[in-house]
This record gives sequence, C-alpha cells and structure tokens, in this order.
Amino acid sequence: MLNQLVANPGFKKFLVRLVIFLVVLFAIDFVVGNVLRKFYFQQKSGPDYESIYAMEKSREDLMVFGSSRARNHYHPKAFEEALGMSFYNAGRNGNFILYSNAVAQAVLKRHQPKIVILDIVGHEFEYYAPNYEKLSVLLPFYKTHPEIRSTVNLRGNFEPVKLWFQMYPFNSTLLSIGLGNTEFYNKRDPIIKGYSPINRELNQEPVVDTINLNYEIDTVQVRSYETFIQNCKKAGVQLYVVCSPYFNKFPVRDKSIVLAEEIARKYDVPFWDHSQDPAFSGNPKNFYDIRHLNEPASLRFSYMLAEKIKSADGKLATRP
Amino acid sequence: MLFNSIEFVIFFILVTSLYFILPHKYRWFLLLVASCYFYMAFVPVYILILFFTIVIDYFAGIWIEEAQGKKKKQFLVLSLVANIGVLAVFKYYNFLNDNLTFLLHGAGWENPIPYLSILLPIGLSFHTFQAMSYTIEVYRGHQKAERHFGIYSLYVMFYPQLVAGPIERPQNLLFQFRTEHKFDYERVVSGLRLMLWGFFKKLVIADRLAIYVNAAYGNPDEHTGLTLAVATMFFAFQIYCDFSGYSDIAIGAARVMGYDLMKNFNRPYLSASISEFWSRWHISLSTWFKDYLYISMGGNRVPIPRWYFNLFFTFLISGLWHGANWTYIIWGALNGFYLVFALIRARYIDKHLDGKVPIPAWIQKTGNILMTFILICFSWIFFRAESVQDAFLIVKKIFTLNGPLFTDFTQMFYGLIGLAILMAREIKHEYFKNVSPLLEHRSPVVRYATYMVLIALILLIGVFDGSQFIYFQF
Repeated sequence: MLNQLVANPGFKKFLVRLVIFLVVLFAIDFVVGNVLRKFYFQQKSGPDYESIYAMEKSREDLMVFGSSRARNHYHPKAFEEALGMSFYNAGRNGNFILYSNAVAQAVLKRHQPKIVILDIVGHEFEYYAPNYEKLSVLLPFYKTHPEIRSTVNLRGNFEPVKLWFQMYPFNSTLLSIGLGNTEFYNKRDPIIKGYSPINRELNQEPVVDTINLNYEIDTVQVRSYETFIQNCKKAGVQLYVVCSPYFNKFPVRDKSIVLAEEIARKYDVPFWDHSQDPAFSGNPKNFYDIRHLNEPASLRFSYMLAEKIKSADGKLATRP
Repeated sequence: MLFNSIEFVIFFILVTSLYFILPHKYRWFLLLVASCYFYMAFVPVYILILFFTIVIDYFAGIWIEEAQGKKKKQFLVLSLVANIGVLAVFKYYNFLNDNLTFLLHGAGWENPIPYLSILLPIGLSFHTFQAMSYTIEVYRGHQKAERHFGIYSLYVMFYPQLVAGPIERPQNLLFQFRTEHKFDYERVVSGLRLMLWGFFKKLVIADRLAIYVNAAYGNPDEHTGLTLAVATMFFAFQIYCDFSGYSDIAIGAARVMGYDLMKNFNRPYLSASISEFWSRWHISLSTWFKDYLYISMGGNRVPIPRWYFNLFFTFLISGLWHGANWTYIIWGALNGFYLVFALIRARYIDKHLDGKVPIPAWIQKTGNILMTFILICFSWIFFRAESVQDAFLIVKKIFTLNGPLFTDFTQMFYGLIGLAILMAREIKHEYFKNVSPLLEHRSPVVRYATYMVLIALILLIGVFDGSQFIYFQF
C-alpha cells in the first residue's frame, strides 16, 4: 500500500509542494521573527521594556519583585533616601511568583543586589491557570536566557515545539513593540525606576473579604517561591519577604501568607506581614482600589519599610 | 483532545499518514481506534456512554429493518428513549431537579430527590442526535441498517465531527466508510486550506474577542451599557468564528482523508431575514430539527395557528438542546418568536406595502441585514449571559447606554484585524463571486502569500491559551 501511495503522482506533487511550503514558511518566520526580536529588545518604554531592563541591565543595590502590588507599593525615593542605595522595582502587573522567580534567576546570574524584597499577595499560591498563561511575557527571553526555560515550559508540554517558530515568542506583542519603540508609555504613565505611581482615593468602606478562603494550593508555585529564597541565599543577597497592605479585612489569615511565612522561617528569611497593618488598611484615603495603595500611602509605606530594614536588618519574621 | 492544540496537530498527521498507508480494509479500524483515543482524551470513562448508545442503536437499526407493523415503531421508540434518556440523565436531570426544588420551595416543601454529581460528557447532544438520525432514517426506509458493528460505531464516533458536528445523516456518511479513498492532491490541499481558515477563525478572532466578552459578561454589574453592547456584538462574531472555525477544521480534516461532511455555516451574518439566518447558521442542526421534529409535527401543512406553534415549539426545543438553562430556552423562544412574527408581518403587513414604498432595493437589503444582525445579537445576550437575571440586567443597561466604553485597546486592536479579514472574505464570497478568492487563487504566488499571512497572523496575534470550543459543552 505504501508503494501505491509513493507511486501516486498526486502524492509526489504534494510532498514536493509541502517541502517548498515549509522552506518558505520557515524562511519568512526566521526573517519576521528576527526583525521583531530586534525591535522588541530596543524598546524605550512600556512593560516589556521594564522586563528587559530588569533581566538584562539592572545593576541596582536594592530590587523589588512581585506583582502590580509590588510595582505600586515600593517607592524608590524612600529606599534611596533612607538606605542610600540605588533601587529598581521589577514588579509586573498580573504576574506572580513564577514570573518573579524567573526574573530573579536572570538577574542573579549576572548581578547580586545587596537587598531583595519579594512582595507576596494573598492567594499567591492558589492554583489559577492564567498564572501560567501569563508567563508568555517571558517567551522573548527563552532563546537567550536558558535559566528561565524551565519556568516557561510550565505553560505546557509543547512549548519548546511552538518555539521552533521565531515569531511565536512575540505573540500578542506587535502593538506593544510598536508603542514601546516610541515615548508613548512614558508620556501616558510616568514610571519611576520600575515604580508606578497611582493617584486616587477610594470612596468606600472596608468589608470582610471572604472570597474563596479554601482554595487549592499549587505546589508548583510553592516550589518556585522556595527556589526564589534558595537562589537569593546562595547568591548572598539579603532577602525580605513582605506582604504589603490590603484595604479590606481578612476574616482569617490567608493560607498562602501563612505558608509563605513558614517557608521563610525555615530559611531564616525575615517575613513581614503588613496585609492588615492598621496604619494603612481600612482607610480609604490610602488606597487607589481595594488591592493597591495610592502614591502618598505607598511613599509612607516605603519609608516605614526602609526604616524597618535599617533597624531590623536580618531579624526574623514579625508582624506590625 | 482540542483541535486548537499541538497534540491534535500531531494526532492528525499520524492518523492521516497511517490512513493512506493502510489498505482500505483496515482503515475503518484505524479511524475507530483513533476516534476512541480522541474522545477518551477528554474524560476516558464517558466512552462507556457512547458505547451504550452505539450498542442500542446498532441493534435497534437491524430490528427496525427486520420488523413489521407496530414492532417497527416499538424498536424506534426503544432507540429514541435510550438516546433521549441518556441526554435526560446527563444533561437535564439536575436542571429539572433545580426547577422542582424551586417549585416545591415556593409551596414550603423540601425536594427529596437528590442531585447527581456528574460532568456533562463532551459533545453528548451531537452524537446522540447523529445516532437518532440513523434509527429514524432506517425506520423511514431511507437507509439500510448497517450490519458491520465497527462501521456503525465509526458513523457515530468519526473523530472530526464527534464532539461538535456537523451532525451527519447516515445516507451521507455511512457509505463513505465503505468507499476506498485514494490520496487525491486537490482534496488534500483543499482540506488543509479549510483547516487553516478554521484555525484562523478560532485562534485569531474567536479567542481574542472572547477576552473582551468574558470581561464584560463575567461582571455585567461593573460595566456600562455601551461596553455590554460592544461585548454582545463581539460575542456574535466570537461564537460564529468559534463554531464555524471548528466546523471548518472538522470538514477539512475529513476532506483530507476523502470524506465529505455537510456544510454547517454559510455566511450567516449576511442574512437579510431571520429565516434566512437559520438556513445559514448551524445548518446540520437546523435541518435535523426541520426533518425530524418540525415536519413530523406537520410543518406548515396544518392550519395557520398550528403552523406558528410548530415553528415556535421547534425553536424552543432547539434552545433546550443547547443547554439545560433558562437562558437557552429564552434564546430559543426569542428566535421562534422572531420567525412567527416575520410570518405574521409578511401575511398582514408586507403584502399591503409591497412596491408602495419607494426605497432602492440595495438600501432595503442593507437595512434588512443590519436589522437581522441586531435581532440576532439581542438573542445572543440570553445565550451568553450566565443567568436570566444577568441577561435582563444587560438588556436594561444596553437600552440606557450610559457611561463610557471599556477600552481594552490591545484586545480590540487584534480582534478587529481578524474581524476585518473575516468580513472581507465573507463579503467577497457573497457578493463578488467572480473575483478569485485569495486562499484559492489561481496564482500560486498569491495563494502561498495568503497562507503565509494567515499563519503569521495566527502566530503573532492568535490566542494560545488552549480554550475550549463553546459548542463542546452542548
């Protein structure tokens, strides 16, 4: 039957055209992919630019990692003034421990900051599929940063296969590459050393936040957190794990925060839980929304934290 | 296994290659094993449900053919009860129980009937309807009973159309499993081309628009009327590209192996009336209901009020077919109402106006297309909303249109690129039939360039989050 198939002129024609098709496809993919790579890595502003800076250029003494809460809560002015150190905030909106761990691995490979602050959030270790999808922001670094590959591969078993295509790492980035090569983002939202100031006061009273308290813990994300701590220790970096303030009240302590504290204790890493800090939580004047401090409050929080680092350097976990 | 996954691409290449290598007499077995594997990639144990209906319908088909008189009908009823029974248990039991609880609660009583903790088997409504069409056609004498158990099983389980159609008729599909399909260059290329277009519709348009739609419909309280109106319009294209994208991949995959599956969509949003829309949307289901329910009830060969009832009832059941939720029932009823209203309008109003209103035909047609689209979009609100309360809230907000538009610029930008390409192709196929389409262009340069652009757009703006096809849940 195989002989019959091979003898079929239509099949021969198909094979020849398939080869031509694949050659043309991979040639175009190679050219377009590399043009996009060039423009991606020469961006001047925007979230991708900030990831590129954090992973490939940062040389600061103090670095902050985490999500949008890290990005909005740690003000460079306070840390630079109080600690006399250079500062960069590597937090990224919508990305959590998996992203932070990958970026930290890329940073630590070429530079050891003196201090690292990891901001963790409530539900940090909850299993949530989009946390894996959002790792797509690391795809452009896959080729040049072997240390992040294991994290990117968590997106799915076939990620390395998809990455045969040079265009694939730049999926959904066309617009941001275009705008990032201009000053668009800088003009729209001025970013100060990775910190993003947001200004508004909340207009509501705090409530007891009871959203899904019994969620499933994702062991992959827990392991990633542990790796983050181990890598900092190995590199001789002083690490602080912090949970910054929330507006609403928690009826019980969030189980991700409890677990993060247990693990931090295991490694003698200071863990500061300010999630319910009365100096900030519950006061609408301090918040932009229920999860994010506004700029004045973030500045006060950052001064407070910087003083705490100065005076309690190396002390173990405490709560305010 | 999802069509929009690398697993499927590998599966498809392997199965198709083996298919053409194997002698014809073994191909049915290969396809059957492949189809079982394809189905079991979702929830393996649910293959037992399929097996149950296959066994019942296989024997029912033979008994119907061999029986005489009343016995014939009894065997058909046995088959229908078994199929509808499976649907009733797995799809409608908890819904009916919910409603019973509500009614009893209103009267101050407790509902003693327990709920079932089961997942709805993927594509259950599709393969049970395909199985039912077999026994009905054998009963009607349009199809001979299939004696080969393997081939009959393949008729129900043929992997390209197993989980979301097109819902085939036995006369169109069964004989094709017995025909030897040689490798045919034109068919293979045409099938692959259709698959490419299906992937484009699913990954670039449907899944991209879904991001905006899910944000708005997931939280209608927090969105404005304008945002919800735009989300509803996006949903109209999302569901079209999701489902017709699936159909294109299914028809294309079958075509590569030499099988012809029926067309399921025919540019529905260019319809100038609701009845035209239903002759272009999910054609395999519309014709199923027409052939086996509407006509069985007497169709339009009955007194006028009964005709209207037949039409309305058919759409009500079609709504229920889509899902065990009042939102789907209202959606079906709304479409039934549109059709009945159109008949009444044609009978009592349009015939008096015919030719008396001096509006150019093209303006009239454009207006009708827009009006049909708006009415269909309105019905989609009920289809997409998570509850009846949400649906009415969305309707209320849309009619007040207060507040600004939620602009997720990135998603809208990519989504609109895909939509522009879709509409250009649809309009070309509908109104410029003599212009050679880019995907099937005579010039290989243009054709190849089109393939490359589509693949590049899939890679660059497609959504690769592995989201399911909407119709899998039915």
